[in-house]
Amino acid sequence: MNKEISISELINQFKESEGKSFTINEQAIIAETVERAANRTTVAITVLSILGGVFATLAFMGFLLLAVHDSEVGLMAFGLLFIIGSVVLNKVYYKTIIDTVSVSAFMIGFCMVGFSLEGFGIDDQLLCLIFIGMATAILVINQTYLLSLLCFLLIFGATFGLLNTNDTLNIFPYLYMVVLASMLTVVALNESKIISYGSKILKLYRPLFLANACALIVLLGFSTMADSYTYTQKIFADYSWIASIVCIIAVLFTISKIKKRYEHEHTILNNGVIYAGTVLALAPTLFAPAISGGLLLILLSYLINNKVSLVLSIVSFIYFISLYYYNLGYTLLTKSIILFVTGLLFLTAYMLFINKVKSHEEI
Amino acid sequence: MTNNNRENIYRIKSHSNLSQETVEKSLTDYVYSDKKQWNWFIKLFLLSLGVGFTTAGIVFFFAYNWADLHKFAKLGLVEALLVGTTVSIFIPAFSSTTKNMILTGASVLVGVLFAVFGQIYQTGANAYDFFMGWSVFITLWVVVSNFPPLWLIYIILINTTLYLYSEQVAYYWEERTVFILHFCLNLVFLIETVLLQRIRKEIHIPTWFTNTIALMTAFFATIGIIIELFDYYENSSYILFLITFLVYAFGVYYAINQKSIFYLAVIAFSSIIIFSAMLVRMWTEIGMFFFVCIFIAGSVTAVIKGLLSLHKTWTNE
Repeated sequence: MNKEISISELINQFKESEGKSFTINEQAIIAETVERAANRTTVAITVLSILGGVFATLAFMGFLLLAVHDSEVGLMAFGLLFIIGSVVLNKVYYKTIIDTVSVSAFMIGFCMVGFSLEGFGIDDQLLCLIFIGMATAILVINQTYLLSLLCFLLIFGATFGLLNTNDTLNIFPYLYMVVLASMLTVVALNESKIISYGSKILKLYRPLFLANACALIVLLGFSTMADSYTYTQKIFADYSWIASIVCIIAVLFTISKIKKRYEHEHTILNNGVIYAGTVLALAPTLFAPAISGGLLLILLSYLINNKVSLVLSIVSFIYFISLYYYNLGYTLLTKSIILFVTGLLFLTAYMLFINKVKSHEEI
Repeated sequence: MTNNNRENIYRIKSHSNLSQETVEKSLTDYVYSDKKQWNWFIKLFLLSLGVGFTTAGIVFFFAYNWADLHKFAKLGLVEALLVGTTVSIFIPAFSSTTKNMILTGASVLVGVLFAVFGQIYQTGANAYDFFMGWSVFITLWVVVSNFPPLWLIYIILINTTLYLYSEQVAYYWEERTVFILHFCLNLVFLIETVLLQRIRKEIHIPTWFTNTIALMTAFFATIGIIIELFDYYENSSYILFLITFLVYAFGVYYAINQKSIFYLAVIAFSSIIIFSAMLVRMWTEIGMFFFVCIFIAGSVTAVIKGLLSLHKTWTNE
């Protein structure tokens, strides 16, 4: 674990490294630190807030579905009121204790607006566009963590819905996967650059990364729903290979960045072996982008030390791999040979790796 | 706490003209995984994939119906693999993590052995005695290794055995009885883990492990009570209610003593869900859903307020 450093130590370090040109509003930092300390939360409390919000929304949906509502205008008015209420509440009074209420109000509001628009007979594409527009507008006004996370999730989800309703070639989901994987790589590898664009962007960085990772996981999950990965059937049937190639390139790019970050010390394994090994290991999964996508998610989450997305990535990666072999259109014997050989290759790589690390430590 | 470091860097950045290069350097120094962490991660990643894939390969190999292979050859092959894997634990060059992972692989092979046995003698792949035999025969390794992932596999196996037993042999058991048994079973493991942590301080039990068992226990209590409420409303036995109430009361006492926000959050959330289910069951009017919505949002907010003030007090102590 990286060593913990206090905010005052950090400020002193920065003053030293930045020199005279460095200007800082220490009063504001102290005030914010005191305020945040009063609202210091744990993962358990954050999860409780979100789950509370989800369950309250479900109960409200139960009420809404059972109750006879014949006024679309009423639904729309109350829905908008709920959304505006949650945004204003968050903007004016940002405290952890109001998270559950604002999350519930936000989700209930969007559900009511959705029902109302359906009632007005608006088609799905326009509905998705309206949701994207509303979520974007909220992001401009409010940048608190949970609401921004929900807005980004809504934007990613509605974009997927929009592409899906337009899809006749079955190519859009894979192109969207390409966009999400590339975006996640860019976001993860350029944190310092992105948060330097302004204070609003800085606040949005963490929810954006998590929402992007969640959206990619869900989309990769969809891609595993294909019946079989038999090559001859799939080769012209869809465009999953496009997503796989981009994910593999992104994995290689991420590895190169990781290596570069520690190059001033010494590299552990020969470049060629690492890149060739990665490509060889991922090549058989060309028609299953979930594998290379899952690996990319794990690498990026570990790289930027985001524990929530790391846990989600590992769990989904195990699921994707199991599903990949389950769906593979070969006999059990062939599958067993592939698995066994792959396992031995990984164990060999492990032995090579610990030997290299040991020899470097001895030097 | 790297999250605090990131938060501090962000805060300074938003109130200063800190250059991008310095932000990058401070993130690399204090937030991102360093070289040592990457070495640890790559080792664990390659070893997990290696052991996982090899074992899966062996499982699939025996799952293939070998018509030409004599039954003794089949059993002998798995036995040989099992012995070979277990003996490799004595190689001194391996670290204790490596040995534990190999032992976990060997424990899966015990399952393969029982599966092959079941395949030859047609006992069925999901017979409860298959899982029971598997659990019994890895018990010693589980205890000796004290490796949390292996313990988790063991607990899941015992839960599976109990579930299949209730389906295949004791099919006359009521659903609520099955949930009570699952709840008690996981509770025993939880209490054992907690006691072990207190008595034998040299044994390190990771938090994720105790938290997972606590979640499983709360899950069976919550769902069990909901089933009791909706399926046995007229002739409720109240046993699960009573045990859950006592366990949760003790849980709150323990959590406050141990300063654990996690246990308090789990108990509170489970209680809120149980109470909401009770409200919906008792008053079936549509308006009750609306009331439950308000109740959940209000009670969760109240719980969070309490947890936050406790957290603040505990961190300041």
